[in-house]
Amino acid sequence: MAGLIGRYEIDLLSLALIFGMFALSLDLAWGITGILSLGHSAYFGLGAYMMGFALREFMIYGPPPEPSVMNTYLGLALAIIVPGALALAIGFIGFYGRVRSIYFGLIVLALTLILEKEIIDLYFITGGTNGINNIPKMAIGIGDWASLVLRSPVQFYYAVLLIVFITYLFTRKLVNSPFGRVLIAIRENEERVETFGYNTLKYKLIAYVISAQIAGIAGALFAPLNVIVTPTLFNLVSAAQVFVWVIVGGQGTLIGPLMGAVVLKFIEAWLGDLFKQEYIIILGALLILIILFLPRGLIGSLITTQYQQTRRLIKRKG
Amino acid sequence: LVGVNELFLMFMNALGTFVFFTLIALGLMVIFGMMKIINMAHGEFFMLGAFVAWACVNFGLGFWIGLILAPIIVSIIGMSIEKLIIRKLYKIGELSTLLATWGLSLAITQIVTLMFGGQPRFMPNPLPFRLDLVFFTYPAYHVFAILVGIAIIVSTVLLFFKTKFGVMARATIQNAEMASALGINTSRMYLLTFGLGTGLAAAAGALMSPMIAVKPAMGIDFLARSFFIVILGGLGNIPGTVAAGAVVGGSESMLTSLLPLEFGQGGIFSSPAVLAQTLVLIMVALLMLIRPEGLFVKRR
Repeated sequence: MAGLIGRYEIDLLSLALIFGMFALSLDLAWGITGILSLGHSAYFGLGAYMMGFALREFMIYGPPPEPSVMNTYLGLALAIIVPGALALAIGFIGFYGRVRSIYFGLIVLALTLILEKEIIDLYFITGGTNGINNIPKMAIGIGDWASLVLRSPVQFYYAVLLIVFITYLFTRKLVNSPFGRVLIAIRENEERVETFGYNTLKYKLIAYVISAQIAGIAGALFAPLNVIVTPTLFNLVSAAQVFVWVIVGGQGTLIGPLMGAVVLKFIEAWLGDLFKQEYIIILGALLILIILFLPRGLIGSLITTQYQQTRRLIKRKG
Repeated sequence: LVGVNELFLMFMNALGTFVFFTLIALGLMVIFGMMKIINMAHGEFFMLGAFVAWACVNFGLGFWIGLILAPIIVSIIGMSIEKLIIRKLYKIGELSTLLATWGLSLAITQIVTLMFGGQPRFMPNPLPFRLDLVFFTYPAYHVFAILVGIAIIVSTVLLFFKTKFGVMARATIQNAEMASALGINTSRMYLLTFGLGTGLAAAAGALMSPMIAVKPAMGIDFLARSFFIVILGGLGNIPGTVAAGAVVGGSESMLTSLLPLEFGQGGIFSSPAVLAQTLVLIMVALLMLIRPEGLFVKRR
């Protein structure tokens, strides 16, 4: 494999999959459950920072420590706990306060933007605009005496592939379970689900926390791959581009957003650094054009979902 | 304890913040309240206004001409965008307009960055002296900007409550279908409203341009605050928007001057300005928990 394609291409593949996982997490919250989390990138960014902190043993200035199994596991744990806790707090206020969906989205977006400012401001702890640099590689195993440092891009790629695959299977299983059916029903008509006696707020809160945690894990994988994490993870472009991925893929299809992110990441890489500014214009134009002409998303328009099939069946019989 | 001078200065700063925030939020509210369009690109129209003023200074037309040209040029841009894009979104729903205007916001910011570069630029002060206000002195341009801002806010409120346009506009806010049945050309109302909303943002941008750094990303900072004000003020409630502007702008400005300056010098707290914004965000979130329909709307 390494003979055919270079390190750069393998790293790009890992990166695309990580962003695919991030898009998947937003799809669980927004596409499936209908929670408009406009600042979902906050959870991804927090996951990345937590992993960065842990791998650097919380000393962001000075030489980086050796890769260690304990640091990796601590980073993963923090990348699940911290975004989860934040989502729990915001979700609790938003859902139990019965804040309108769009207002909720705007509050989450404002939170992401304020996190960016706080991280830049608290440079003593976070490294400011320079972020956390020289993040060591991850190491897996049962202890530092029996560990495998994911040094080569191929090793890291397989680890990412495995995690993304498991996450995808997990979310698909979740969505197809009775729990997931309730989530879809909440998206379609929350009031009606409530009259059936379901505690919709609890369902939404659980879905939102799981979604934030998946985003956090994706962020945690991003940190060692990218070697540095900066506050730009929390800016408006980062927040918007995950929505573009989900919309391009077709919201509520799970595999669509994952593919959407991978495809767009490759297009971005193909355009290269020279066209970084133009790429953002393309992202913006894509968002407008798809909303106007393909409301079901680019890939979503091509594949019919189970939901549509059932609808068609009902129509034919009725 | 703070002295009388500091108290007056604090009051003037808070008044300025209130006026500018309200001016931007009013434009957003007019579009949001009337057209049910969540205009994520509103901050970009504010930025464009500041850029028109900057361009006028740079190309020799002078700041004052820029101040007048900015709302005109930007509302023409705004109305063109309404005709090209926004018009097609009314039927698709709130969420789609939010996402499409978000795309618009990204595109406008990047186009301006490509054309002029992303670096911040500072404009010369058009009134470089301090006014003697009996108890204390205050920069003359700030006083001018506050007065002009108040004048624009008052005329907007009057426009909505004292003119025929206002009656038709408020009718469209309350029930667009009914208004259209009664012979109001709602699509023309929408066009004019969008022009008015973007023009207000541009006026705020041009007015503030000598006081802040002019850069393509400057709109983002004001977007979140304007949305807070609109949400707290209640949908389609113009006096409520002004009052919410006082709550958000006033508390942010007061907190910024009251928090100790030592914050943000490498301690565990961020600088007063950022900490104040964070606290205001938390305050707004909690207020929304208590009053989801807006601060000044009776709960059903």
